[in-house]
Amino acid sequence: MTHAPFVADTMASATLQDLGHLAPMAIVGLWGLLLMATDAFAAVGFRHFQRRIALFGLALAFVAGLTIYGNADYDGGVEVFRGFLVVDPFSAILDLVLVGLCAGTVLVAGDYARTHRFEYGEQESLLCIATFGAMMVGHAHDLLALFLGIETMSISVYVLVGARWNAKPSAEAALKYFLMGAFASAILLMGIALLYGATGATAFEGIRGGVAEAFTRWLRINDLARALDQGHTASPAASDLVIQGVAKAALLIPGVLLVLGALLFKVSAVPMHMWTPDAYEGAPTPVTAFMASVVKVAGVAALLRLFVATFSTHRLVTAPYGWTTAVALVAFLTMTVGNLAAVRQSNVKRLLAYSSIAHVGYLLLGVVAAANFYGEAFASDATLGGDGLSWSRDAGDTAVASVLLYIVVYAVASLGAFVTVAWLSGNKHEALEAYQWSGLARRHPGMALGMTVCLLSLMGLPPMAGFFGKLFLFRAVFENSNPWLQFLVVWALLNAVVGAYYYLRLVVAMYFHTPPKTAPVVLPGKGAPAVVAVTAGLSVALGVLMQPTLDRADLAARAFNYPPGPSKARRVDGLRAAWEARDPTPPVAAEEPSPGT
Amino acid sequence: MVPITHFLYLAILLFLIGVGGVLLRRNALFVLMSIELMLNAANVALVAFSRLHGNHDGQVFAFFVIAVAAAEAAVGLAIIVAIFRSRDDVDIDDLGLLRD
Amino acid sequence: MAASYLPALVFLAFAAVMATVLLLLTMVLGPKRRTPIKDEPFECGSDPIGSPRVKFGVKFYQVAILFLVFDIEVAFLYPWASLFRELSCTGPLGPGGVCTGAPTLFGLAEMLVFLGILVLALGYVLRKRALDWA
Repeated sequence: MTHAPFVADTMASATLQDLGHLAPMAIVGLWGLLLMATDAFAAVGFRHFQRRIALFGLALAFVAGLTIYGNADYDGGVEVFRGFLVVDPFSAILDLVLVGLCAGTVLVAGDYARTHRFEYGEQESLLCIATFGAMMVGHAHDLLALFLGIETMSISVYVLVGARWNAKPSAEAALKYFLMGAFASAILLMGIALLYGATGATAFEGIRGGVAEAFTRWLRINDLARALDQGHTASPAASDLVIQGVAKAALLIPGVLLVLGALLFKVSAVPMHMWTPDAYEGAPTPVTAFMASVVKVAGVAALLRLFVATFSTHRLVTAPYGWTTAVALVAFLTMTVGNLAAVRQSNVKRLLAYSSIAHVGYLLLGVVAAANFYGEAFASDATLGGDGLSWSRDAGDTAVASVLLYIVVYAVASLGAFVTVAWLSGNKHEALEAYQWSGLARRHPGMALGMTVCLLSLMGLPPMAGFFGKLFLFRAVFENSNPWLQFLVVWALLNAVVGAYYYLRLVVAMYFHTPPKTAPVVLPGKGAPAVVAVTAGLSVALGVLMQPTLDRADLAARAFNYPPGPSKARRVDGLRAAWEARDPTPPVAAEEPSPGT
Repeated sequence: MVPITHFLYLAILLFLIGVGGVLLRRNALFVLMSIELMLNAANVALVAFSRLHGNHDGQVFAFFVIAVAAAEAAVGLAIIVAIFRSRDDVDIDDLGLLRD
Repeated sequence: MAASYLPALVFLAFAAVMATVLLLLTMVLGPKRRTPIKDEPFECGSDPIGSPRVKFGVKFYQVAILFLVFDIEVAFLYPWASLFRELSCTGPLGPGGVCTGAPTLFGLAEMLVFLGILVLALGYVLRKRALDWA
C-alpha cells in the first residue's frame, strides 16, 4: 500500500471531508457516544428521552444516507480515510437499511425492557454502536475496517444479549454467544494474519493484487539463488524469500479458509450454527430481532465485500484451490438442516431462529454463484485484455444484486416477525409456544395481519417481496451455472416448500384455531405496532416496486466490485469504440491477469 | 536475523494451544484465556509479517487487536461473573437452560 | 542462525538475574519479625483454612475489568507520539526532522478527540459509581 506522505495541512481538511462522505455512519457512532453521555450525566427524569434522542439521531443519519444514496458522484465508489473505507451505492443501500433496522429495534427495546423490569439506560447507546459497527462492515475497504466493524458490532451485541439480568437464560445465552463469537473472531484474525503474510497488504485492493500474483509469480529465482549462493549464513534471508515467493499460495489458502469459516460462523451457517437458536432464544426478544436483521446483514455484507469482490480470482473459485465448492456444500447443509430443525420446533423464537439459518443457506447459493461468475470474468479478462465486457461479469453483477435484495427483504420481514413476538410478551412469561398464538387474529387482527404478511414474505408467497427476492436469487443462480448449482437451486425450492409448512402452521394457528381463554398480555406503547406496520408494508411495497429496487441493487453491485474504476456503461462504450476502430490483426493475449480491473 | 518461519512456527503453536484449550477445557475462564492466546498468536504473525514485507500495516493491525482483545475480555469477564453469581461455577457443560 | 537468538537469550538471562537478585535482596535486607499470622502458609491473601468457595466482592472484578480497558488505550499513544512531528507540520519534514512548513495543531487536536472520548468513558464510569468501594 503506497501512502502519500503525511502532510498535516491537507490531512485536516481531508479528515473533515471524509467524515462528510461517511455522514450516516459518523452520526450513528456519535449518537452512540451521546446517548451514553446523556444516560450518565443527565438528570434522572431526562433519561426518559433516551429513545427520542436515539430516534432523532437515526432519522438524521437516514436523511444523510438518502443524500448519499441519490448522489451519482458515489456511483464509482469514493475511498475515504486513505482507502480504509469506501462509500459506494452498495454501502449507501446498507446504510439506509441498517439505520432503519436499528430504529425499528429502538422503538421496541425500551418498552420491552420496561415491561420485563430490566430497564437500563445504555440500551439505545449499545444499539447505535452495534449498528455503527455493522455500517463499518458495509463500508469496509480494508481488512482492519472489516475486523473492527465486526468486533464493534459483536461486542455490543454480547452485552445486549446478556443485559436481562433478572432472567437466567439471558446470561447463559450471552456466555454461549460470547465464547463462540470470540472463538470465531480469533480464527478470523489468524486468517487475516495469514492473508497479510501472503499478500503484504490489508487493503482489499492490495489483497486482490496479491491474490492474483500468488498463483502466477511464484518464484523470484534470481534473488533466491543469490541468497543461497552466499552459503549457510544467508539461509534466514533465503527462507524469507521462500515465504515471499514460493509459499504465498501456501499462506493464502489457509488464510482464506480461516476467514471463510469465521464469517460463516457470524452468519450462522451449518455446521457453525449451534449457537444461533440458543442465543436467539435467551436474548431479550428485541435484541433477537436485531441479531436476526442487523447482524445478519453485516455478515452477508462482509461475505460480499471480501469473498465475492476480493477472493474471486479464477484460481480461487475453481478446483483445486477454490472455496466456492465448500460454500456450496455448506449452503446445501444450511438450508436442509435449518428447515428440518425448524419444522420440529414448537417455540416460536427457536422456529424463527432456525428459519433464519435456512435463509442463510439460500443466500450462500447466491454468494457462490456470484463468485463463480466473477472468477470467469477474471479469467476472460486475463485472456481478452483488461477492458473486456463478458457475460459472466454481468451475471455476477446480477447475482450480487439479487443477494443484496434478498438480504434486505429477509431482514425487514424478520424484524417484523421478531418484533411481533416481542410485542406478544406483555407479562412476565413470553408467549413463545405455538398454542399461545392460537386465534390471535380474533383478538388483535391488525398485528396478526402484520405478522402474517412478514411470515408470507419470509416464505416467499407471490405478492410479497420475499417471493421476488427468491425469484431473482434463484434465477440469477440457475441461469448460466453448472449443473451442481442448478441442482442446489432445485433443492432450495424443495426446501422453500418445507419452509412454507412451518410458516403456514403459525398463520393457520393465528387465524383458524380457537383462542385460549386467557387473553395474551401485550406490550404497551405504539412502538411495536408501528414497526410491524412498516415492515409489513415494506414487505408488500418492495415486491410491487421490485424493478427500481433491483436496478438500484444492480448499480450497487457494479460499483462495489470495481471501485473506483469505470462504470459498466462506460465500459460498454469503450468496447464499442474499440470494436469500430478495430485493427484487423488479432490482439496478442495478455500474459498476466491484471488485478483490480 | 531470525527467519520468518520461526515466527510462523511460534504463532501456529500458540494458536493450536489456544484452539486445544477452547475445545478441551470446560471452565469458561480457561476458554476465555485460550481465546486470548489465539488472538496473541495472530498478533505475533501480524508483526512478523509486517517486518517481512517492510510495511507497517501489520503492526497497526496488532495495536487494534490488542485494544479489541481488551474490550472483548472485559465483556467476557463481566458475563462470566454474571453467570458465576447465579450458579457458583462456570462449567460450560452445565449450561442447559437453552436447548432443543 | 543460533546467533540471531542471542538478544532473546540475553533478555531471558537478564530477567532471571533480576528476579533472583531482587528475591535475594529482600531475603537479606528485609527485617524478620515472626508473628502467628505471618507463619501461616501464604495463599494470596485469602484464608488458607476453610472453604475454598469464598466469594470475592464483585468490586474486584469491576476494577480489574475497567483497568484492563483503560490500560490498553495507552498503546495508541505510542504510534501517535512517534508521528507527532509529521502531524504538526503543514509541510514535509526536512533533514533532521525540522519542519519546513508552518506548525499546526492537527496532531494535537486528533489526540484530544481520542482522549476526549476516553474522558467521556471515564466520566461515565464515575457517574455510574463503578469505582466507589463502599
